[in-house]
Amino acid sequence: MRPASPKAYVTARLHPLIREIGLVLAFKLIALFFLYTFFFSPSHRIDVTPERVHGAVFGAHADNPADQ
Amino acid sequence: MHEIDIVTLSRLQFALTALYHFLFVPLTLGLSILLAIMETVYVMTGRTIWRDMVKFWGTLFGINFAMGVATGITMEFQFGTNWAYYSHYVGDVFGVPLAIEGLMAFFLEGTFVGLFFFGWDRLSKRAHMVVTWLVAIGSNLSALWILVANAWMQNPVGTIFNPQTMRMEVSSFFDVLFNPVAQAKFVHTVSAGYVTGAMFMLSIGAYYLLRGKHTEIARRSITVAASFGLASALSVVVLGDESGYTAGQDQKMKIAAIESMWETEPAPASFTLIGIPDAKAQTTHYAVQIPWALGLIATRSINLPVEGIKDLVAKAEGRIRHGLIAYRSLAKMQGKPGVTLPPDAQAAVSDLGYALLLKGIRPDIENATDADIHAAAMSTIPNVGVLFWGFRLMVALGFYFIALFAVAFYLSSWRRLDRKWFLRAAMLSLPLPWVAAELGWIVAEYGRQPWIIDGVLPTSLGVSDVPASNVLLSLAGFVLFYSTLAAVDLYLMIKYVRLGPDGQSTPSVLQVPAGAD
Repeated sequence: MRPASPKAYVTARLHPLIREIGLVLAFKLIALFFLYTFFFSPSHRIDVTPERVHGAVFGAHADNPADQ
Repeated sequence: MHEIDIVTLSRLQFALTALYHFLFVPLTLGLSILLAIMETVYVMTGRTIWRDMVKFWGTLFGINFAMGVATGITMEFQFGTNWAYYSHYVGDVFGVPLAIEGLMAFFLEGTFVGLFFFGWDRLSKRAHMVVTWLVAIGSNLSALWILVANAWMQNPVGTIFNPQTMRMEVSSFFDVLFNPVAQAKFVHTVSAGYVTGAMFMLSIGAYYLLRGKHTEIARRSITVAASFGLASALSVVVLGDESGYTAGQDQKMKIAAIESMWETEPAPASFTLIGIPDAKAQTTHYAVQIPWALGLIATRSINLPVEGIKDLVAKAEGRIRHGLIAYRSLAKMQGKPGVTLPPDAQAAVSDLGYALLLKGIRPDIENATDADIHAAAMSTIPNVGVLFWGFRLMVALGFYFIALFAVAFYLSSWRRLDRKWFLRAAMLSLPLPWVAAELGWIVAEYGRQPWIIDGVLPTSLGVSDVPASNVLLSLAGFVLFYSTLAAVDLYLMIKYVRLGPDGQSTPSVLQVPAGAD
């Protein structure tokens, strides 16, 4: 239905650019959601603790004869 | 088949997303300030052509903003997944500026971007102008906090290593915030953004003049772009010189690699203008040098030498040996809370990162041989060829921008903007600020290798032990996602540039008269 006043008619319709940007933002949101869900969600992360970092940095530590 | 390792894949993915994200950032930084300037002129003079200019360039700003927003969030995804050790090791430091950026600057920018577009008919002229300035200030503040975080990776000040928690912790937030590298990077980066914004207006204005369309707005836009662009292009070079000085103090290897300078250059050090770097032969063929220039850039003096790669490698060997003292003591502390390091090990903790370079050579690094230590020290040399050429191309473009904006300023001052050769050159120069900005990041970040945090944590130790196939697949996803966005961005930009200020967007950025569309 046509709005009552010309001004209302003008404001009731979206500029094509707004529609286009809206579509792009929706696409972006969906793409980011899928990327996050399939590759970056907590289940894809390793559990990092001080002990684990210590293991990664100081792991395979072998006593040096010079330290004895 | 040659397999790409997880470190290379993770680096490639991060580099791709960062470089893509930075296609949008400089235009946002530059165009937001230019919009604020043009709207101020409108408020001061009351001439509606300036309002029309703000609305037209604001439409293009809006497209760029909408396309760019959230393209950087994928880097945050990667910090948690691909760079978990890095995030644990330095998250307490690195996360602070990122959080401030998100909470303060981005929300400031995002809120007022909304008011900028939707507030034309709802706010007074002055209030809208204030909104536009707040958009510009918000954008620039966003850049500040990101660059504070990045600068800490280049020059990790204001922090100490806690062996109990295995992480770097902030000891002085003041030092982190006022890191000289951060200050130099911030002003250099935002002024590069201003050049990008000015070139955007100059090139599109030139396109309109060549086609004899929208000439009133095009001439005024070129005049604004020429003066703002000239000042910005000069600033980029001067402030880039300050970045060179800070790198000369804190990242000597980066400077030596940029210069392909294998031997220490005695004072006053010469700057290699051009040459052919040869990393295998450890020399630069056909080098053309400018006397004294490097001494002035890197040391601000003519009586200090600038260290070459070979001497820096020898120093790195010493630091690796020193760092091993701390490593041996820290390795024994595992599971023994309350144990303190002996004094000699405490003094060596600052070189622990150098010892960790040996992890790329052998796992039991405390048994490293002289050959292992030399190999680890050699790994501190970044890719000389990429840095040498990347830096020179960036600098050459910087001087080209000065020349182009100077000509534009001269022609617009004398009302001679009808010179076709100039208009063509200006139009074709449109992509060049992006090329220069991306090269700047490549030089800055490639030059930081092999460190993820300079001198503290080698890149290879920051990477998570996640399956390489995951990173490869997500990398493919990013390529697909970003390629689609780039194509849409180009389509929308070209469409609305062709429509021009007299097109559908003129009455209001957001409203369209009946019958249009």
